Amino acid sequence: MLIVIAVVCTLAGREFLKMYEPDEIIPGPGVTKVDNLSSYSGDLAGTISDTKVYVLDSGKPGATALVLGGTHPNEPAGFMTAVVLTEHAFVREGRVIVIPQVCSSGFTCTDPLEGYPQSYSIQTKSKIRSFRFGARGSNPLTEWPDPLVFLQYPSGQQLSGNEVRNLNRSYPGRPDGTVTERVAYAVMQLIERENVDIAFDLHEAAPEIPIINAIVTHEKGKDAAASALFTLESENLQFALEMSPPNFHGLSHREWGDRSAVFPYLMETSNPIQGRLRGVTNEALVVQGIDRKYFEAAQIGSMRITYDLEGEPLARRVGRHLRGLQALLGAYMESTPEKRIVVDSVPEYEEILARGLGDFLH
Amino acid sequence: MLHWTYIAIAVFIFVLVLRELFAERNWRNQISLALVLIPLVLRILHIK
Amino acid sequence: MKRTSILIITAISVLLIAATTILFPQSKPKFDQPVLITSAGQSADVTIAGMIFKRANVQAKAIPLAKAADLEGVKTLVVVAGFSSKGLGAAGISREQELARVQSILQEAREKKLKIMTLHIGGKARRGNQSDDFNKMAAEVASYLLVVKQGNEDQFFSKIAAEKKIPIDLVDKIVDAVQPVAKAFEK
Repeated sequence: MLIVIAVVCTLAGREFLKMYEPDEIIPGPGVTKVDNLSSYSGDLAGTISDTKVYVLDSGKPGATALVLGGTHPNEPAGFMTAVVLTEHAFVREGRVIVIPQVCSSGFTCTDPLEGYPQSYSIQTKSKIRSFRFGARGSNPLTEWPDPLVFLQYPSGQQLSGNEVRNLNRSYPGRPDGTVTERVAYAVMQLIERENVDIAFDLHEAAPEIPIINAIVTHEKGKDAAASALFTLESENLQFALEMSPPNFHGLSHREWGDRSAVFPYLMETSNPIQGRLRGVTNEALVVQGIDRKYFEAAQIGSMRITYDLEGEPLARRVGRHLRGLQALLGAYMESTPEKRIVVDSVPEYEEILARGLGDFLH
Repeated sequence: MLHWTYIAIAVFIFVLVLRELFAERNWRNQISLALVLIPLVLRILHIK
Repeated sequence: MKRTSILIITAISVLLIAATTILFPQSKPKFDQPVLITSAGQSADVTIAGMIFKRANVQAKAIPLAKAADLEGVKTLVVVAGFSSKGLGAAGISREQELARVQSILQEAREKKLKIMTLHIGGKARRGNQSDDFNKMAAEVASYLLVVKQGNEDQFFSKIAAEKKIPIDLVDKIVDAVQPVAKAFEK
């Protein structure tokens, strides 16, 4: 029996350790500098919480935008949108800073009891690329155990204990806090030091959640958000507009906006693999987003979004994020014409649907 | 500090369960104990 | 013969009346400024409504948590219907408090004989159990309904409009709401 235990531990251990191998992200021609998040908070250096920061600098004065993917590593559209920007975008005016896997430790594990696949694959022009599907929060190995109640710093707001590992409840963070708080602190430091003007936190949520296919805005960015919505709607892309609740602390759209000059936006797309109605949970559900149960729910009018048997493919979700991002940048420039930011080579929504996500990856 | 306290608790439970495993004659119960031991090992080794 | 004539005349009259109703539907009221925009359900659609009015060149003040006292000097109340849990959280009030507030301001508007324009521009996202209380409350007392079609797929607003004889415009997109708003405020 001991031998059996040893063999199982070895085999299982090897599978789990595979998740520590970093994903390949190939900086495109637009990337002018690759840095680490630990440059903004030394404590992270050498840990699995340190992560790559890609800078796309036009060399021309203008606004600075920050794009965060992978705040929740089980929300692949946010991460993949950031990867597409890193590998494909080119900045003509201003500067874009991209962190594809801001909660890097969360990519080294999956959430228990969800049955998530450990990875998913995208066919590009030249090869099949595999990316990790992670957990909602930081790896519990980096900060175990979770408290019974998480006391958010500095608001003192009480949340469920497992939220201690949720980066999007940890802002503004602190340099001597939990690992997740230190990552949050590093992001705040980056926003300050790099004088970020507009910042995006890209997310996904279960299709049955009310805040879906949405833009969440801090009150200072609401006019630009409304203007962007008009633009998106004229292109047949419906987004709901949601205001960031001032009394819900720890979230990027609240704390970034309250504690710095940045205009923060959080965007959500619909991700069937996160949903409670889902059936088979596998790689296909991540990439194609087709689930019969969600279709049936839509048929009986229980869904707030349209859902058909074409599903919610990852390409569509990435397309929404990219288009939403561009619309918000455009609206921001309209409201602050002295701060220009022009990002080229970003695939259009229809383009990414027609050609597939892999066409815009190396 | 608390993290290592919990690792120590995991090691303690591991030893207890291992002793039970050696004392157990019924193979079905041995498998049950093995199923408890495996995740403990992976947690102590910081793998999962 | 006399009876036949009466029957023919009655039939022709009924047909003429029916034709008139079809050819000349419920006429849309004209609205006056000053305009107050408020929310029924605290969705951020109030901000979008503000943008619609701006593009329609109609001056409007948006107070998402407007109370009866805010109606002082107002000639048109615009209610943007649709519930948002985040909006409620942002406003720091409960659902029951929001229902009470909306009820109170609508009542005050009716007592003051103000014209009420109800907008539903959030589509499917602002429909469903949580939103429909607010949607119904705001729609039933409106002088005019302006609805984005996606929010009316089950004819929710059309049925209210037919029942309460309220003129209704259904538009494909939010941006299409600009023209009807501009028209409603034309002198």
